[in-house]
Amino acid sequence: MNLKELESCSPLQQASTPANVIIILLQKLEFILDCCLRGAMIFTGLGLAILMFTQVIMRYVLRSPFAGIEEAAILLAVWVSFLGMGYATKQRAHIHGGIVSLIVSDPFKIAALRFIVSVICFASACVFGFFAAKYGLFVIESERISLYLQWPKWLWTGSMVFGFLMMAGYFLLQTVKDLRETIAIKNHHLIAKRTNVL
Amino acid sequence: MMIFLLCMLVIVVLLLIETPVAFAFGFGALLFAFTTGNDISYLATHGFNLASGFALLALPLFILAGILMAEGGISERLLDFVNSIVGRVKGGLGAVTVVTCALFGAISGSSSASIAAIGQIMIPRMKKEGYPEGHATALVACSSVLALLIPPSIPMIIFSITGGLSVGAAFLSTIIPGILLTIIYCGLNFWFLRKNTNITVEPAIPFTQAVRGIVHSGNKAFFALLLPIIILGAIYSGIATPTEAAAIAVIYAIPVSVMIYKGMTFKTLGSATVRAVIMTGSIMAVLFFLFIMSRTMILEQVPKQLAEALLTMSEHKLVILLVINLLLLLIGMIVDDISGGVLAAIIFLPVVQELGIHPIHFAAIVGVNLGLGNVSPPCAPMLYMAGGVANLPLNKYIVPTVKLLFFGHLPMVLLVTFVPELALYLPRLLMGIE
Repeated sequence: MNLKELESCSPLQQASTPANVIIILLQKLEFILDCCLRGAMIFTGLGLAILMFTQVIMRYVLRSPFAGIEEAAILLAVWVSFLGMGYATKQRAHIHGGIVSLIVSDPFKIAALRFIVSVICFASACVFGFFAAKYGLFVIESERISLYLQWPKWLWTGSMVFGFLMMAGYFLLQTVKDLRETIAIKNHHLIAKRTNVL
Repeated sequence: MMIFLLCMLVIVVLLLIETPVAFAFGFGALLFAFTTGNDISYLATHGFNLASGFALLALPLFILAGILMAEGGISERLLDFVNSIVGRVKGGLGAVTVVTCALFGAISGSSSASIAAIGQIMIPRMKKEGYPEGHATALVACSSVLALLIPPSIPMIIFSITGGLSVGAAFLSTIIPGILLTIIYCGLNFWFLRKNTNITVEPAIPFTQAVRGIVHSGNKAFFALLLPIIILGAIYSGIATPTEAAAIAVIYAIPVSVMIYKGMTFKTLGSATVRAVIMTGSIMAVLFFLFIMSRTMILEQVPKQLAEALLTMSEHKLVILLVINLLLLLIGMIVDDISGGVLAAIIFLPVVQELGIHPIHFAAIVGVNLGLGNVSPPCAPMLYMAGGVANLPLNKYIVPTVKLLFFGHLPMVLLVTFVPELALYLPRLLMGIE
């Protein structure tokens, strides 16, 4: 049952199925999270362009450049980068090559390889995420501040921690999805085999 | 060195099984650092410090400007403009495709954007006018690579930042090869189609009417054609740095796409920005992990050992250059142009500098080689993308692609390698580099 179908049910019906209520809540949460992420991406992306353009005006027209703008621009840029990394994971939009789909035709083998790839990506994201978090904590504890704006440095490193958190989370979802798909294809193969034998 | 080669083997296997490039290198770097006994904890910090450099700010801005212009309705205007010039001769539509891809590259800086915008319009149009569908697809795929050569080019930005070179000079180094390749592809297109009797051509019109048509379509494409002039003009006149020029490009692209060309609304501006951020993220992920990989390599002195190994192969500069070309082609066949650019800067730049080859000349060599790799199987993202747009199986367009690459791109690679002036003339003229 999808979100629309569930929402079209009466509240009584919805309440009668606690599992569905959880699904609705999770889907709503995902929708809100998605809106927030997209909003953040638009804000940081366009904000970066506007900020850099302001710097151009200040430097070349008003002849009074402010180095703080460049600091803030880097802040937005790192958030653009790591939000983009996280969201690219969600959309499976990371750059990849490969020849599996060209030379392997067995859907089970393709699904199994995809699962292995997801596990490797998840493991890498977790390891780097762990060290990113460790570094983030170190920056918070050392109370570092930026040179010109005097803003806390964790605003910058926070982007990396958040990005890896997103990547690890979405890779976990992807791994579970790929595992289920692999099992489903295997079961389908087995059923088809048994039917052929009978 | 043995451990490094084994780790590279693991990375290649991971790439072949369609692991995202970033994570294949991330996993490889972890494996390499772990097996060589290096401390892993500093790797993320190192990647972050490099990824948050000021020079890399140009990357998201150029990507955003390119996406805004590409989705803002410029492709039809550019096509009409070029079509009004060369469209009325046999094979003219093919030439229109090649030239428009080059112009589009000067605006978007992205091969995939060229295929999406130009290929979707031109492949069906060429098929309709009797072009063999394999030829049409191959032409779009090969021409899309021109976006890497005509500035602003994203892989060139990344190569120059990683190698510590001037972005402006690297941009200039590939302009002449890019223009020459455009001319070669147009010529090959006419040559391959000379005996084809299925192609229909629009009837000729009087000269004055043709000129009027060119002026009319030129007016419509004026704002799109102005963007590369603004970007390059700002950089080379010294008005702005590449990053600032990219910001100017974004601020210029928004009103042009939304208010003048009306190909975009403020709502779609948001989704275009999201797409740009995702593209930036996927590129930055590759860079982040490649920076980490390069760090582990440098700690183990791998580039030095590789350089020594290459230099012991021959004392002759040209032989080593040929070997490097071959290796770059192989890299281009396995990884994308962004990763290829970083790897070339890390592994080969020290070698060529030792050989006395100008780094800006090498930037052009890397540019043309990675372009070739982008359309050379097994990992030929642009080739497959064009095939996807044409909805055609690989066997239908692989032969025309190989013909175009063999007679067009490969000679250009050799020409750029052995005639340094092709790459160095403009940087010397405009930037006074030694």
